[in-house]
Amino acid sequence: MRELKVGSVFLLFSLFIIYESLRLGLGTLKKPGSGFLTFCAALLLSVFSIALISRGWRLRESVKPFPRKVILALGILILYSLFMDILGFILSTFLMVGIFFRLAQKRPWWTVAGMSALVTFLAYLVFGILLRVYFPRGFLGM
Amino acid sequence: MNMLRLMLVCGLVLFVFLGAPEAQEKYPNRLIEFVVQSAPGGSADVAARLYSDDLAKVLKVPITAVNRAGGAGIQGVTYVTRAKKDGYTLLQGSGSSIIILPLISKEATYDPLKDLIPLGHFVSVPTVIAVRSDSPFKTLAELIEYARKNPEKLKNSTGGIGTFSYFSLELLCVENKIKITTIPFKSGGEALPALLGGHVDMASNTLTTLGPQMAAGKVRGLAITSKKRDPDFPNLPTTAELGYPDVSFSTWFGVFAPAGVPQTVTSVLVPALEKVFKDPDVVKRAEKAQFTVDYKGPDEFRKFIENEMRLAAKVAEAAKLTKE
Amino acid sequence: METLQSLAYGFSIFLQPTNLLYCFFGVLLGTLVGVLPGLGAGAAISLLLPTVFHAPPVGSMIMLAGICYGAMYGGSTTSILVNIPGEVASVVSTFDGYQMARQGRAGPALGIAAFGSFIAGSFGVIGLMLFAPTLANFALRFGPPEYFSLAVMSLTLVTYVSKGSIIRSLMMACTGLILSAVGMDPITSKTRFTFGLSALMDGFEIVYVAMGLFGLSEVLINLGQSLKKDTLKTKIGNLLPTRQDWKDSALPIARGTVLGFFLGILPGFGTAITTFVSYAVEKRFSKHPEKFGTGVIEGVAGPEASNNSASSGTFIPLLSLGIPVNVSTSILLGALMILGLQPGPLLISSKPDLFWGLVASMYIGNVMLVILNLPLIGVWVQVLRVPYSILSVLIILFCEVGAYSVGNSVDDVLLMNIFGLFGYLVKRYKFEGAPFILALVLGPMFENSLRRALMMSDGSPAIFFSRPLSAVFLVIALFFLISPLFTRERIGKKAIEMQEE
Repeated sequence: MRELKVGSVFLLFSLFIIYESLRLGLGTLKKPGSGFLTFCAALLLSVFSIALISRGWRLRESVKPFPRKVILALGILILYSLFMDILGFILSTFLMVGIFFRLAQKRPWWTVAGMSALVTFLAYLVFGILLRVYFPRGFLGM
Repeated sequence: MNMLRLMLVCGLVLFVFLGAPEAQEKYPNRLIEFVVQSAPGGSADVAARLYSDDLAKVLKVPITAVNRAGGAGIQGVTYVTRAKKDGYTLLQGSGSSIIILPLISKEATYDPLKDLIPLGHFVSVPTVIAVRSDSPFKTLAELIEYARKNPEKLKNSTGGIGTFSYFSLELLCVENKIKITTIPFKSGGEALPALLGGHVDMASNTLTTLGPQMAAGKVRGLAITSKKRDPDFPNLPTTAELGYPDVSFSTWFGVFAPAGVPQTVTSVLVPALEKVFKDPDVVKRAEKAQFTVDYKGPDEFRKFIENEMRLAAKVAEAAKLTKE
Repeated sequence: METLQSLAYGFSIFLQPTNLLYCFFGVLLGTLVGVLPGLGAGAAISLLLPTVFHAPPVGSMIMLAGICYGAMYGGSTTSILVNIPGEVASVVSTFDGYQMARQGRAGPALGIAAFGSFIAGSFGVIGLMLFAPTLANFALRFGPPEYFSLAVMSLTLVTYVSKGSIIRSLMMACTGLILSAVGMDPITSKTRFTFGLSALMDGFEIVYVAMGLFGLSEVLINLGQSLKKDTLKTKIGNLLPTRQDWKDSALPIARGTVLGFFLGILPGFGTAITTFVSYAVEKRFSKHPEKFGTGVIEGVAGPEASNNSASSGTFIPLLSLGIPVNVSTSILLGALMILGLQPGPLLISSKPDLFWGLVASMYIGNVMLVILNLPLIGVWVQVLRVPYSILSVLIILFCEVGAYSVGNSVDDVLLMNIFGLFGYLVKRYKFEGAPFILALVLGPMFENSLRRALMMSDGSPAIFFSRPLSAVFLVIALFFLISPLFTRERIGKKAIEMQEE
């Protein structure tokens, strides 16, 4: 079942790329176009996807459920990257690290806050000050 | 108890960060983000670091040169045009991203004259058209003659379609009605081995890249696009001398602010930049790095940009380079 | 004889206290930057550029050069310990290095990496000293057709860096090739596959892709498996490589050194691909190729040696011809210009104090690095003692901040997270990240040199065979493809058997 799903995803992807590559133009041998390589690669990919699907057709495996924790973690990370500009590096990092500390192990909120404050501060020190990386400032200006 | 103490320390630390209000007084009074349009080490980056510290001293605030190199410089410009118009985000703009890219790239959605205020032109680097020293072409005329008889046979290497070095050659081709096949590379530095290794017949590249090779005798320059002959290469004729005064594109760098920045800000920045760009130390450093310092004030700079835009548009049209 | 005299001259310049200090500071900073994921030697060097205005030229160059090769030492640290590549060139070290760490052999892995780096780096400097101009001119003979053939050869190694199913590896490779095209096409200067998103305008930066694909996904996998805390705590064995380790690593280090050095002189080739090639070569010549990927020391020794000798190699075109080969050397070129040292073919003859002083400093720099890094192994290994519930969060933070620092872009962080998800899915569905990364790294070189070569030959594919160098590499590629048709099945079957155990 797995291979069926995965193979289909890849197949759809490769068909999409083939379409886009044709749109970009394959060019001529004298001046190969932008879509040339991706067209060939996507073509190959579609062939392999079909092979995978046919293999998956024969074997059927059970699928493990998607762990809740992973989805949550990914959600937090994506939110982090989306909010870093608005909240600023320090605040968003503090929140993110805090939530993860709590997620990894159930500790009292005070401990979590202290730990993440320390970690955020150190990160800012090493990257922001020592290595002079320019971090985004949020609406609080930090 | 230990945890609590730790917490308090951290809380204090955070408070220090949080509790620093900004007084909106005299400009500038805090750090300026100076956007540089290339990755570390690119020529824009080198140019910026030549004077950013001196500018910081003159303005009495720290200046951080921040590299925003996306899309051959487009991301840097876009970032600045969208930034707050308070004068704390400035751009070191390169000629190619300000003038050429809006013509050929649909990602460059900014209007160079409407979205940016030119504050001061710093340096320019002329283009050189060159061949290897063992090439049969000894003058530009010979090269053009050959190209006329053999269209598309000559192969040229350049640092990218969106560069002034390429546009110089294209204008030359347009004016002479010849066809030379250009093989673009990602940067001038990458285009150089192609010439040296004999994989292409000629190169249109910056003086910075080709200069040392010419000095060592590996490469023969056929023409240079500056107005006057370069003192290091007195035998290298200018394009104007050879009958192509329009082929005068040079790669240049200057400082810009986003449009909408108040006059209180520009009236501080312009004289500061003038001071820095005319500082003998800065000039010496720039010349050592093969840049020609050519300060232009805001009005002169603006006129210069308008002129270049017209010429570049002409080239783009003739060479059939479009936005799509 | 003359070389020895010049070398002695170089040492006389280098062994002044200020230059020694500059060298030490450079290699120290290089190690630090190499350990921290995201920031590379490039960023560190450009940070220090303003300071070189007010410092003596030779000393400054010694320091900046130290950052370059120092970073190659530090990069393997996080690769081995927590599966996060500190540098692009350290991606390959995650394959076996991390597995070794999980088996409690982090110490030997780090040790062999350090020693291998030292041996390779030193040999690289010898090569630089003796053969710089000759090799530089040799490197010039590589034009677009040769690069294409090299890329083809490297791509055929895809099957070597994978452990399991061939079809899945090939699918990953194709996907990598496709994704490498996202961004600005250097030939037409137009963007493709960006769908209007400015985040994609420059394509995917390998650094954060690797961090997400390998480092972040590993954390996610561990999060998803609710294991008891004990099993997550890694064992810590002895700290130094055993005699057997040394025996096993000797040939890989030798091969890696030679390979890395010659591939490092090629402009635009990149130390990353070199490490992949070294890994594949080691697997090919190993007596137990099916064990690769489970924690064999050859998989760490070869690549780590190759990236250090490649680093020495990158100085050759820079110093002999004034041609930069990668990002770090581009910045060094800029620094040379700013310092008024006039890089170019005349550099060695007009500024012998710089060249020989640098060479001398690189010898001692390598010694300093190995002295610095060895005791640090004990420190690094302690990191593994940190409870995983804390360590995992730190790893996540490391990745996030590291991704940001690559291009000062929050978009990169988002992209890295997405690749973390991708990496998680890859692992979950029994695909592999290695062929993907290899293809992603090779894609640009593969595509652009193909197109440029065809432009050079006016459309005729014969150019790849009419030029001797190019033809040679294509033949080697063919050899790699065909010869193991017998052994490949062996590797594949054995690996699948092992997986099913």
